[in-house]
Amino acid sequence: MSSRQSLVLIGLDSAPPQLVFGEWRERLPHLRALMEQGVWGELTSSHPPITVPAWACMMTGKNPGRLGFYGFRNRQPGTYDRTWIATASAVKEPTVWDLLSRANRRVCLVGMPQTYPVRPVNGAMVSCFLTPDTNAQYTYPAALKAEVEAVSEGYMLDVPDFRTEDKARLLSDIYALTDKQFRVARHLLAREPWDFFAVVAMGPDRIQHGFWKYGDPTHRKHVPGNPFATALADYYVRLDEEVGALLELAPPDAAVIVVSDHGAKRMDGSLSINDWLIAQGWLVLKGRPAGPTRFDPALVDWSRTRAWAWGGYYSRVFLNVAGREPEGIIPRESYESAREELRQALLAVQDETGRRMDTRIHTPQELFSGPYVEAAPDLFVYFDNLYWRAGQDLGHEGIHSFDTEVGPDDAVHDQQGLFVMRGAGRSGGRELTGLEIRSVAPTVLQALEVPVPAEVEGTVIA
Amino acid sequence: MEQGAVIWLTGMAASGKSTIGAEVCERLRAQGFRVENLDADEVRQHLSPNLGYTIEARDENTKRLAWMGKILGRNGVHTVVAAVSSLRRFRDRAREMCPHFVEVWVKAPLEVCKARDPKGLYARAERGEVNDIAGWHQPYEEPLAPEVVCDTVAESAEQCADRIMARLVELGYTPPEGGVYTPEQEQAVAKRLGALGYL
Repeated sequence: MSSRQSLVLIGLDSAPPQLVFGEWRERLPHLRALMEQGVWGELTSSHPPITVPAWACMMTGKNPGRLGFYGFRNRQPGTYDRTWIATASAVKEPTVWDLLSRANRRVCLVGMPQTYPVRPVNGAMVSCFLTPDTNAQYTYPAALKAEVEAVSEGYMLDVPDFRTEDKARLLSDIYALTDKQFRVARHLLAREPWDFFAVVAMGPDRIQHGFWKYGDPTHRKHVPGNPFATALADYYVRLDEEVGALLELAPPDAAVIVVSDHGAKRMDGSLSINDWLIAQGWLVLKGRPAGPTRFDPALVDWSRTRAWAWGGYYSRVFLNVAGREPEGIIPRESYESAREELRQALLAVQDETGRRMDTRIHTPQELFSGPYVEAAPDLFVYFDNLYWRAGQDLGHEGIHSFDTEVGPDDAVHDQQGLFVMRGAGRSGGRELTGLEIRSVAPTVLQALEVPVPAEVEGTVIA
Repeated sequence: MEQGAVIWLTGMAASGKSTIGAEVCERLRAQGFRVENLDADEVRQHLSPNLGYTIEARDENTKRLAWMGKILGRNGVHTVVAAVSSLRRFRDRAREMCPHFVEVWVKAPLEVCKARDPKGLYARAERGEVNDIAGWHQPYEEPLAPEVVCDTVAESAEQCADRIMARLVELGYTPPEGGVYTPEQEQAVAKRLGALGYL
């Protein structure tokens, strides 16, 4: 390291502030010490609050309307069935490490989301879980890969076979993933020269999605006395130990940021949005599905369909607009009124008890700015404030489901992540409010005394 | 280790091989690939300064280039080779040596090449200083079944590079530009993201 200010950023994907700052605080001595010696607070995530685009928004300081992607999977505008996965190739705006590299500062990154395929940096990079597998080139420089494999005794980019009933194996894999990531992080932090060091652990996200119900008595699937009741809390204790072990190796005057891209909370259910659209007459199929069926654009009668949707932790709704979609039927001049009609109908959706959900719905024009706003989905729908995920598959008996078609059924995302910073002038144990994810990038740059470009949208967290 | 492709640009001197080769290199690098540009003239200068331009010397030079492409390719590096490589047997040997071989015929009429003459080679030949130019004094055997044909009278270097990049994707040697993954990789990644509930 040089004698200039250095900074360590530890990302804990999906770490929930209500637990880290609250219920678990006394069990996490290293994180608590950072809070007490620095500043801390909730960090409002991106729209949508998903790993992609959240980490890119955080590390570029820009909103998705400028980045051009709204989730892992994105629709090619004007098509029904062409999609693409947002990898590092989609990140055209300069990231913190791009800017630091250009300023001749050394960077070292481990596991930063959306860094595959790897790009050259002034330093070293170990890429993320978007790498297809460890046969691919996931490090920069290329020669680093052999070292990573040796240090970790076989690197893990993610947990395999996530959708499993073998929870003991899943838990073991999550610990192995965390162990290997931090082992590589400690090795590189000690060996590589760096001004900016970042490691992002995906373990928190994986364990939350897989194990939330076991420890949360308010989860509808919670069974008291189950063998995994403390799995989540125990994992965070290990995570805190990893944070401490990593920081032991950093210079004492290095600034430290601990951050999550969004939060997490229990999942209450899954709303079959395309079944709802069918029931409401917005979506028309060529034929009635025999039973639960994967959503496929080929099943749709586009000549009579006004809207369709994608599922996930939030729902993206697309309107079938004349002149925009290949068989669009909503006249351009009726677009706004149709969208508002649909929005109002979705706001009235009820849960299985008849309670009107606290659904949040946004248009891209309300949320974003930049050249890619018009390429965004027409509506962003967060059922019951994200407590309900959205299922896109068809042919269910009703619209409410508690056994998801794919993916886990334990936890969903929350709009609020967390931010803790110590050093570079941040001290005193102050709780900060109003923090937003795009402010992390300028805060890192300012701490390292590198100019913040004017087009960065966030402001420095003081 | 992913196998790197060898993109072998063949054609007469001044047909446009180096220009197209440089454009392809830049695009592959921009996608995050490791790339090496083996320009024949440059390689000659460093590795084979004593080799001339007889048929035998060209044979030796192209064999060296093919071998370099082979070892780079097996280490996951995409290699662009811009070499006259005037005889079919030179290029066929390279194809045998290098998996993921892409032959690109960069064609332009001799008169056009003479008019371009960026290195003054044809001017020297006019003055009688050289008499071993492939396609003029020596044979240039046109490829019979190249993966790509680039007509540099009709197309710009960028357009030629577009088609070479597209062909690499069609052959499965590179994933789609901006898309990153081969179809199999994309399916595997999408499945994993789906299992996590993201899709």
